[in-house]
Amino acid sequence: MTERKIIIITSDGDKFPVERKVAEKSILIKNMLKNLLPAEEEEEDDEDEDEPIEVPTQNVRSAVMKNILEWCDHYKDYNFPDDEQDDDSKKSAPIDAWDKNFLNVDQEMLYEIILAANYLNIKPLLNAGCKVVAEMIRGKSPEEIRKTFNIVNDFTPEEEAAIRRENEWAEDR
Amino acid sequence: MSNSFLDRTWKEIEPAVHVILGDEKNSSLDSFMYTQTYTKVYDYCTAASSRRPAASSVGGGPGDGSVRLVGGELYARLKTYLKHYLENLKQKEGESFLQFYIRTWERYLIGSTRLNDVLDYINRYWVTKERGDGHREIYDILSLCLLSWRDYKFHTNLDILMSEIMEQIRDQRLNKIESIGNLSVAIKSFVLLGFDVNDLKKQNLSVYINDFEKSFLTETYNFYAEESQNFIKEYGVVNYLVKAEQRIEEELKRLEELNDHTRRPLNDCLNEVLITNHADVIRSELTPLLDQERYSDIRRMHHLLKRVPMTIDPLLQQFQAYIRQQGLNAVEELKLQLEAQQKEQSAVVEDDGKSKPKKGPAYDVDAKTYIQTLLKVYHKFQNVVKESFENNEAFVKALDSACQSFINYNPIATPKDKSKSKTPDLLAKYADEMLRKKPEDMSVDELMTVFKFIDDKESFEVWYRRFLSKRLMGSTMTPEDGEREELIIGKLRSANTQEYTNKITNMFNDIRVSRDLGTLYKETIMQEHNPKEYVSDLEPRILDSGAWQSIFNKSNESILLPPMLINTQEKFASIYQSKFPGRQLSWIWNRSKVELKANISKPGKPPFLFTVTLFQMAILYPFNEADTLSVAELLEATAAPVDVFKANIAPLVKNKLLVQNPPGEEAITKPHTTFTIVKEYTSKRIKVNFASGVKITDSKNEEKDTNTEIQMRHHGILKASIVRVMKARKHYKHEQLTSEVYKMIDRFKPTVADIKKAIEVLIDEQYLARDSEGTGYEYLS
Repeated sequence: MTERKIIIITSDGDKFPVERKVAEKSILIKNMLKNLLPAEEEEEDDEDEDEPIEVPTQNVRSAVMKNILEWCDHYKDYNFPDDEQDDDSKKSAPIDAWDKNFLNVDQEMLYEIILAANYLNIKPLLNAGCKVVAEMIRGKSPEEIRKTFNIVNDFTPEEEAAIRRENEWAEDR
Repeated sequence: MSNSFLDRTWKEIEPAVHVILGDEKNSSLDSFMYTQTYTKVYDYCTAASSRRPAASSVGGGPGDGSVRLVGGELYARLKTYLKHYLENLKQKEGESFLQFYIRTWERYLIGSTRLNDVLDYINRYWVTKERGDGHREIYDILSLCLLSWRDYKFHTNLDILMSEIMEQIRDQRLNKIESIGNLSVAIKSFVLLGFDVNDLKKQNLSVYINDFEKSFLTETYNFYAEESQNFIKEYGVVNYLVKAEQRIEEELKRLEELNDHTRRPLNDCLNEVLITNHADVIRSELTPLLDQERYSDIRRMHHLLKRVPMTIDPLLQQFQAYIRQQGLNAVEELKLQLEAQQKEQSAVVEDDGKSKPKKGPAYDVDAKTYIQTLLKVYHKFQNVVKESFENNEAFVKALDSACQSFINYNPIATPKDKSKSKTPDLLAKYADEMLRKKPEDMSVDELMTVFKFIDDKESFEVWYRRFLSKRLMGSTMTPEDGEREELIIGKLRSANTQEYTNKITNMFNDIRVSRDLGTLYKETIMQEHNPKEYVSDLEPRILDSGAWQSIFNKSNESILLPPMLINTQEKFASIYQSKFPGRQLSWIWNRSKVELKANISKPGKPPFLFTVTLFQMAILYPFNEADTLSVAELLEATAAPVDVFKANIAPLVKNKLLVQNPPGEEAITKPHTTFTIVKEYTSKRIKVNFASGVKITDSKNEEKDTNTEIQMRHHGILKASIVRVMKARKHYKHEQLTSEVYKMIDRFKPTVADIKKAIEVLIDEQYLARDSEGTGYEYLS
């Protein structure tokens, strides 16, 4: 049986033909195919076997999708364990070297990849992205963090003192 | 957050939700609609929450301080929508409610699963957080759909739904509808509607059990209560056995349509309504079926009843009682037959005018016929156990108990209530007949079958040894006979104990040792100066008094040995003493036989060979010197007791070797009566046996002696057992002692009177004393 072709259409109208197993790294797409394909095959059997199925992804632009698909392609033959309760060991594990390199992009693109991973429901990629961001925060003072992420300090000095007091227990000593 | 954004979002996704759950046109969902709906929900949730911090910093936000994600309002809209959607589903014309339920459920279940995926972002984002915060009333979308179905579609229509399902099942039971394939769709929906609110992945069968299974079981019970009652009334028990089996099979097949949880309760329900409730009626059919030998019907009965184990016990009792009665009937019939035969014979004798009224039982029991009668009943029901009860252990036991009862106690074995059973004697006689005559219709296995059931194994042993002694003394035992004897001894030993067959084995061995002693004697006299002074063909029997004494004890009359045997006797005694110093030999003359060469044939004919008893030889010996001798002279020469003399001389007179003067039975012991030996003896045969005509005095009393011996043995065993118990207990109540002794003895069944008697004796012998309360005994060491 030849596989139905899948074409992902991005928000800006670009089309990305992909293998099914690459597309299915996205749980959103995987579920959709599961829900739509068997029924279609039954009804329209030989009619358009070859007609590709188009998957519109309204919230992802092609520049980001390109990256996402690169990641999906890299992991297409790897089965991520899909246990839902992510245990602590997984949380504290260092970022995979390939992922780290892959996510070595400018901040804007990094955020877009994280958002797209969330939207498309690609958990391993989302986790990797969040870890990279966490690395950017680790060991930095508030002022440094503000600088890194380009955040304007809008606390009054009293508010800031109050928050410091409240969170004293968490300070590194 | 603004309500207008929520309104707009809901308005945008509502048509898709409708399509997904199923609309009137049955529109299909495409990938564009799919991802668009997903995106709208995603946008709503993310956009709304991204605005939240600003709102909170301005207005202070909800006071709880915890982060509250957005999605609840959308969830609430969906919940309301589902209620509305379900309440507005329309039953088609001509469609039963059940059909409507099944049709819409099948579509709704698919829709719910899809909706759960399309609205996945609510699940992932808002529901997970809410449930994580302990809000158990919030469900994932699929569960929400199912619960809505339960509340607005299932519970509200429960009565009509169940009544239509039960009607459907009833129709099927009445064979009105072929298949209920789609009924199982409805039933499976009940399973999906129950789940644990704390763990949505865990199914629980609450809906299935409470709303469906209970009424299903009640319905089933009522249906079969009525059907079985009517069926038995109309077609009888035997047909019902088939029907019930078939019904159970059908219902168990129905389980494929139901949840497996129902297996146990349905089984219990069917067992009760189809079996337990009718068990008495069914069982009452056992006796007629046995009478008619309808074993496959009985097998069906057993097969059905054994589904309810507690119905089997009364069946076993009934079966056991039946076998016992059959056994008793067979023996009673044999008894009547024997009595009739006896009457006929005595009538013939009476015609001769010689008959005397017979003492004891009015008939003779032929051991072979008797034992075979018992075996016939046993084998018949052994076959029933196999055919109808699959050789089930409990039924084998019932058969054994029944046989044990009637084999030991029946009109022939125990004509009076408390008499000692004669079965052991008759069985020993059976064994004797088998070993002597070797007929084809008797076998060791049959012997052992009956032996297994005999209560009083001691009694059998004593009788067996009596008969064995005769076989052994008969001296005609061939090596093959010997093997057969040993085979039986071996079987008795393995069926009982080594000790049980000790005496039997010893008796058997004595004969073998005697043969060796005979050889030794022959070798010895060959080396003497004058071998002719000794009898050359001596066949000694050296018997251990322990095993044999009870058999010979009352029949050891003394005699003056004919002089020509004295050398032989002394020689053998000295050989024996030198081989076994310290052993004492005592001679049992009345068991000895002699072969004589008699030169009183007609001229030219070979001499006769007479077989005579030793006593007869002693009587004949003086006739070497004189032709005529008086009773007085003969008594002096032999020193035999008068009755022994009479018994031994009678066959000599009867067979015309001696001529008595005056003749007649009265004169035979008068001192002046004379006997003259014939000049020329005439007989067709060269070998003449005079010994077989001698009535051994103890044969008349044999039964009495044997019974006395058995009684003494019983008494001895009882005493030993009582002493053993008392030695361990020191002080024991009468009832406890009695029951313990009773349990201890397995080779016969002592009566209470036997035990009491043994206790009395032990008190007299000062082994025991009554205790101060008079209710027990003390052991005196």
